[in-house]
Amino acid sequence: MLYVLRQSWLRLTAVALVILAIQTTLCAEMKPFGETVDLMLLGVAATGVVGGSQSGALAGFVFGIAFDLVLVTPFGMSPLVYGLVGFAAGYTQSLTFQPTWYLTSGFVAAASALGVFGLAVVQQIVGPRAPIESSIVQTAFVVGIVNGIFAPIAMPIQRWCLGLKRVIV
Amino acid sequence: MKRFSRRRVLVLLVLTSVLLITFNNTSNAVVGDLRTGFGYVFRPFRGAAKVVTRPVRNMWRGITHYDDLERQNLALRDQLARQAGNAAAAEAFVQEHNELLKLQQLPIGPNISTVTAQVIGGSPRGDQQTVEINQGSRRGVRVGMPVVNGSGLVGKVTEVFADGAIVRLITDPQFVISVRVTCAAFVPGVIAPPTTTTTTTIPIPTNANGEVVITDPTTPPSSTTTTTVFSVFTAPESVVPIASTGSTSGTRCDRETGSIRGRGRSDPPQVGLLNDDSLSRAILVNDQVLTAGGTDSLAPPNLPVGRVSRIILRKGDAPIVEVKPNADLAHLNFVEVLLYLPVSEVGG
Repeated sequence: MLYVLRQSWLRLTAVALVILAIQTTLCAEMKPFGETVDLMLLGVAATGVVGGSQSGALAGFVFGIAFDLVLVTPFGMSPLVYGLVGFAAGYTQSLTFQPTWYLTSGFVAAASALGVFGLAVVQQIVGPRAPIESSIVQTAFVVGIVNGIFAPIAMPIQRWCLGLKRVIV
Repeated sequence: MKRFSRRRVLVLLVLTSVLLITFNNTSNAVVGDLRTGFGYVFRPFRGAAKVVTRPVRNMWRGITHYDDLERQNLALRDQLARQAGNAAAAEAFVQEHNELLKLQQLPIGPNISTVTAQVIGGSPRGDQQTVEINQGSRRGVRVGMPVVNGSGLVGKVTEVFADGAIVRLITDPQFVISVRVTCAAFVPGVIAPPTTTTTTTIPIPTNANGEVVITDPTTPPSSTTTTTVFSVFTAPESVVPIASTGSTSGTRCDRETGSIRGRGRSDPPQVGLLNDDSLSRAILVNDQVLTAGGTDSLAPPNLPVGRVSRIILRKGDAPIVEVKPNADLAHLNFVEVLLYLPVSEVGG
């Protein structure tokens, strides 16, 4: 069992399932300011920030597929948006050298908020045409803040998933 | 993985996702089966997560709903104190209230069975308006069945497990159902205020041959009967145009059909009416919106959906009608799944 978990792919999938289970139970009820927190975005953005664009995109795809399997939104929408969010979060790695924890938390928060807007835009294209709600700004803000707060916990987990060691200079 | 450049990864990701979306649009059955299969596999994980996170959820509820509970508690105490003062009147009121409730049952229809279910989960993401209920295929619940509560239509079943189902609420952007708009008073099952009549009967004394016999000039014995009559409320038909440019040929209480579509959590659902005629302009705010029924409709006719909250008139086009749902979708607890299938599906 432990040998199997050594493979980063499987570790990533296992973590995705655990986060999905929390998302569909805890987050479906706990709604700060009436908004549903998106921990899947947290996982994706954290992977991107610690592992780079390629890992972020891959994690986004895996997390997105897993999430779409329990949602009733058009299948393929979440992998697309989450993949792009992971890619964008990973891009920040090339912008900074040895970023501080609060800076990386900020990146995770920004990427998560971006993901909320991305979902709304992609839903306009592939889903039913519903007007983008004005409350989306609040949703993005809450999701960004909450994910930013939990980023210091999520990043070591995602680092373990990818088999990375933290480099301290 | 490291062989690919960053740009190639991005292109590959977008292409694969677009392929999946296309696949979803062309072959829903496969995606549906995949989701159902994953639902079965994932169910134990969710069950475990529910158990593990219960203390956190309880703590959260304690923090966020403490004020509400305190307020409710005070209101209930107040109500109890008031009711204790006039117990007899309350008893009579409850009896009358129960009778009214029986009469005001939703017009579900005699041949439609229902399954009572409890809402056990909310939407996993903000862009989706769904709830999870605790009854599934074992109790006969199937995809497409309408779900109601005491106030009216709540949504329809979109995914079914053995002991659970996902219900898409009427506010979800993907929810569409055919409805008709009818004037507020013309609703099946809505009862008019009772009318009380007092009849005094004076028996006329007759003999064995049926002839009237006058025996004594004093007042004959009489009996008094009080009858309370409940009747279906029917409003008088009248011409009520809502715009100065509107025609006056339409009559109130004529049915106007269209389809209702959800628009997300914060915007009310809208009814797109089928035609632009004079009847459309006779719709008023607070008019009732009921399911239209029909051979292909997923819901039986005459289920209350909501009330017209706003009418948007459009030049040269049918007006758009905004609807405030009857059911409080944010605080659902017990719901009923109507084991109803459209006539077209039952026949097949």
